[in-house]
Amino acid sequence: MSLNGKLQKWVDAGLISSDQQTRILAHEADHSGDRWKHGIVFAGLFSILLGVALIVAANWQDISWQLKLAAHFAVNGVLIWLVWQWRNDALKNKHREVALFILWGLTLTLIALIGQVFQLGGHALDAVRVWFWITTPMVLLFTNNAFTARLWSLVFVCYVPFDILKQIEDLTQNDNLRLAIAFETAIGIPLLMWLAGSWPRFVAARPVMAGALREVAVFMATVCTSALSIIYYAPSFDPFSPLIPIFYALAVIVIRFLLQSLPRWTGEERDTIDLLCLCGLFICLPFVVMVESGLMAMVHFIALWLLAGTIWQNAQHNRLVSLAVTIITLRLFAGFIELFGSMMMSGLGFIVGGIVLIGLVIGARKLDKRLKEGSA
Amino acid sequence: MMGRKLVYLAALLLPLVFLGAEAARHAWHRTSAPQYTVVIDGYDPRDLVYGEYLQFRYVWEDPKSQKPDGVDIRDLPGIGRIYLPEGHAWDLQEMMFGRKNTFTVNARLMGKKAYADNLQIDGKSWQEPLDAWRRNRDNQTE
Repeated sequence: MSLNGKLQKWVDAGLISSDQQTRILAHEADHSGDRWKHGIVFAGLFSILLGVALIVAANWQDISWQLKLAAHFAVNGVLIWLVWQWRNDALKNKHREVALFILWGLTLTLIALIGQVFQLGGHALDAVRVWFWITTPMVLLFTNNAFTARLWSLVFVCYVPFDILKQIEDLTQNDNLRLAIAFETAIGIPLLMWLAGSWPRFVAARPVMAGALREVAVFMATVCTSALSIIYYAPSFDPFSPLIPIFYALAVIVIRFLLQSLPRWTGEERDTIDLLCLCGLFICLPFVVMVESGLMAMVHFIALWLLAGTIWQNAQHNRLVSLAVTIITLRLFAGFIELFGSMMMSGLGFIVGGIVLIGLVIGARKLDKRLKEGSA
Repeated sequence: MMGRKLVYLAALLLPLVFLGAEAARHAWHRTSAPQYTVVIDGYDPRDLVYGEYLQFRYVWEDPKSQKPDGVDIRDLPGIGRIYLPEGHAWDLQEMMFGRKNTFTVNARLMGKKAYADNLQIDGKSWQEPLDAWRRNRDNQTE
């Protein structure tokens, strides 16, 4: 249905007045022209850039390395100038973010080009390491866009732990040391990210980036801890000391109480500290009780989400409570398939599977509704 | 206020300055390093062509290879690679395995590493011998 038709329906239903209808239509008429103009200009620019890229790609071998490097440095230089020019211009916020994002990506391609021209023969991880650390101050200080901030946080949370663990693997054969650093990385990075994102000076200066750090820290902590339940399917029997996971589990509990003793936190922040420390504790558990058991994997996973759901229930985050209920339901059904999957070879098995699935969904919906009513 | 502005400017310029310095350092090494024409050969059929690179082994012991005086061959670079335009690497690999031609590169030595460029086949730039080899292959197929 067209906008005109929809608005008329809303006027007839008494949702908006005819005056509002007229003003909305006038607003749309004023701005739709801009959208067309911008769309056509964008298509033209895209076509020009594509053409230039194709010409460069087709003649790559004939372009001297000096020209390749000079052109790339010039493009990056222009983008830097644009970001600098637009840094305090509120009307150019979008322009600055796009320029910054392209500059961020082109810095990586410039590193790749330098590697190719001078035949440095490095690994991709070396290039990513240089790129990440030299661009981090720029992204932290200039981005005000949630997409770029979240993307940087995701790169941080994926790359930094991987690099730490890779370095440790190369540096030492000591299983105890490797496990200890793995625990420190898995527990410490989300916690430190969240603490950085909650630091008042940082929040005041870079609110978008601070928000992204907090979001990504919680997201990664819950996702990684959930994924760790997989260890129960194929436990590692490397000869490490069982005292190490116990030590880190106790350390997490101590950190939790130390952080909670600070008076500065809001109620929501206290709940998040509990959640992050809960994840830290659950990271240690599969290493404390080293058994091969699908049932233990399910119990570990469900217990984590049950406790996370309880924390969110207390904080009245209804959407997150619904998420926890949904994830637990799915895991229960996956557990049913694991235990009785062989029944699916028969028609009766499919019927039972269907009944269980419907039963779980109905139960989950009822539970979700009751929890929401309880929090209201 | 001025200090804050400088911090922001430094953060923005850091990637360009760092990479500019790195590129300049490599360019200086590349131009100042001693250059030798060295015979090359494939060293691992599985990896000879890697993406758009021809990977090879330096054959320092070949009499046609130039090498620095008084240096043990074990102290010289063993393997190298050279960028090739798309569509040529596989044919060059096949040509190299035929062992009817002599492949050489110019290697600019930097300790155990070398910048390799100017791939030549039988003393000519690689494009012309490769075209001739392709014509010959196509004629034989017909």
